[in-house]
Amino acid sequence: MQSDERPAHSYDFHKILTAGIVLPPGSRRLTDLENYFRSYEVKNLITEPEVIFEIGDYEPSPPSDSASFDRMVIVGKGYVSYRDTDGTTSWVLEASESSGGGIRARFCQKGGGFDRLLARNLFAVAFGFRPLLEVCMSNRNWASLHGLGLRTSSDQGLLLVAPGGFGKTTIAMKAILDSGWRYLGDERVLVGQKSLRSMLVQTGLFEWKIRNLGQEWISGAKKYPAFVRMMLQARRSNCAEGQTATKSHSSENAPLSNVVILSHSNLQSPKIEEISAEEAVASAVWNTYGEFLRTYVYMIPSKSKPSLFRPIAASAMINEKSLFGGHLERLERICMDSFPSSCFRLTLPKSELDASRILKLLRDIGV
Amino acid sequence: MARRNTSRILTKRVGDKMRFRIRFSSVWTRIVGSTIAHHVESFDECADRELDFDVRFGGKIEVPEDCTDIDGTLVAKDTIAEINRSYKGARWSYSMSGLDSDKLVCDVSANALGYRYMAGTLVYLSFLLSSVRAGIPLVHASAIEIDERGTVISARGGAGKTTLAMKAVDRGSGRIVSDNYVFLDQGRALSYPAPLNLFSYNISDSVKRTLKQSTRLELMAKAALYRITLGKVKLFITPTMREILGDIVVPEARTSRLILLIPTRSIASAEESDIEYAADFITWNQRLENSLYERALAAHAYQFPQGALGTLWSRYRGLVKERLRGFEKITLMRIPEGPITNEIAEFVWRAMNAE
Repeated sequence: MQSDERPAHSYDFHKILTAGIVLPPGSRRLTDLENYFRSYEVKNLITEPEVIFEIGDYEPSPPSDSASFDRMVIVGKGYVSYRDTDGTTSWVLEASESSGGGIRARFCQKGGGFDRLLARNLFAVAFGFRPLLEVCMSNRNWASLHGLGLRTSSDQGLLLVAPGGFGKTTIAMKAILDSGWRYLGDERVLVGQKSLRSMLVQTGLFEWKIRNLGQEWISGAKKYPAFVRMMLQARRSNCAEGQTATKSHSSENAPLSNVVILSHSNLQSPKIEEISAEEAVASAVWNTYGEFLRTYVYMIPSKSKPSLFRPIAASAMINEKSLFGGHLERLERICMDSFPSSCFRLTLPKSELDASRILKLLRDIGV
Repeated sequence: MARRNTSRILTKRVGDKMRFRIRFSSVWTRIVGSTIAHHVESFDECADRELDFDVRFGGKIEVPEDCTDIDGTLVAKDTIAEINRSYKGARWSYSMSGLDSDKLVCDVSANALGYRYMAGTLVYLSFLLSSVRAGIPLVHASAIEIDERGTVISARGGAGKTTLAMKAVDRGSGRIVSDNYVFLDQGRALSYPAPLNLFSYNISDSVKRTLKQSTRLELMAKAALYRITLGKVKLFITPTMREILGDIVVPEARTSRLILLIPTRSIASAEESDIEYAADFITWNQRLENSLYERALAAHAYQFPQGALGTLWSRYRGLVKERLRGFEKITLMRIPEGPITNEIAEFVWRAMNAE
């Protein structure tokens, strides 16, 4: 591991976490990859980031004292994953604790190198790194949750928790366009120290949503790099839903004063009820875990098809003090510290989503 | 079907806690559902009144009235339903109700491949839930009895649990309590007598010699298919545990030792471990074993975090920890990955018996 190597691009992650990315030199596709990480906001070059992503030029070499789980190799605090896709491409993701105390993740195609023209490689990069980032965050007492953050006009943070496809983004669009609220993170949000921040990784903007969101959003979508559109297409064909698109967010934060758990039901009218912080935390963490399973675990698990989530579990199993050990428990603890004492569960009829009605209901409970 | 010894084992010992029934609507479902049949045949069927759970194959799937749709999974307080799911030619629908009540009911409707997938998942989930409810957590481990001391070997699939158990039999001192899954009761390990994990290669020579020709051929065919398809297809065989292993199967054993097995790339090593670590290890091992239904579980727990499924793993861990208190010794062993050789088996026995 070359610790003296200076990252080509580094990003200040809101002073919570710094990440650097080391890319193999010279490729037209690299700009696409950069765009993915651009969302971390370039502030300045950092010589020793806490998280370093190295892509491409190295040969993976799992140390001898590693344990193996379903083609995954667990090395002390890290893991190495060999993954096949469609039997044509394999790649290796190696994550370990670096000498400086941060995390160093290395990614290449099996056998070394990196074919920049393969969209699924870029795909794998993005998907492989996200869990690592989240683990880094939870180690630093920031919980990365699946949800949507908004800053209301009275500068209060509102966290909406709902499973994928519920309509979080649609609600947010309505609130932003009509009421002048601000985004505090879409798809992933950071919760900690009683505040809410954006986790600038992905948004829930799908193509169909973009189409339905008016001219300003469509023109915005055209500016999206080819990489993002490609990923949308790939995800569309691979999964039921695509959910990856980068987009500029506000980098602000707000005190977390409201948490609303959303759900659908067959009831005729919407119902809003106050729930305890414990229940809200359990729902939020399970929702994050469920989203993780949906994204990372194959529909049918089998020993010949390991998923990216399995090494995390395997690593936690071998060593609870590993990179991933206790991640979910940490999320729970952080949320318990940060969630307001009373939260809300909003149950809606399973008809077409009426964003303005939801916003009205939210105002009724004092958001 | 004649009652078998192995089936009486469980109903006799655990009968007051757990009873179940599998029903097939037709010969067709029975044939394609042979996975399930062999998963549970050894347990025996029993009367309606005492059922803890009931699995029905080939019937009509009822969609719960008042339910919430999360990620394609319909959940209500007491019901999970997955309707019209498919994956690579496998199609299935299922509903599982009674999660919070005393009686669990599963309905499954699927095509042939779908039954193959649903079998392990649903029957297994039913077992897991019922066993946690009954206070005898189901653990992904093998159990053997040596010199009247029960030894539970927990490891991920393919690590060598079965092979180690067989090596113990070969030494002449071991008897098999359970292969692959074990119920942990207070101070004892109870048999889960399904022959699912037995192949021709992991059955010891002394046992092989006593096998009937037809059984031997079935086991060989199973192993060949498993290898050819790189572990994707398991052929389900007709012989029961007792038919294959004979008198070396015992229904239960007093638990005294626990081995946590981790395959590594280095030489073998052993160290003492503690209850907390072992409880974590076993819980995660269990979760890794069945991540297919974790999605349904996550969907249900999102809506009802304090319900039976939302608290499943914390209850499971608590129960396992409670049951581990009776163990005299917990050892964490790292062994070289690959086939279990005689040297590795020797190392395991030595480390286990070391004071």
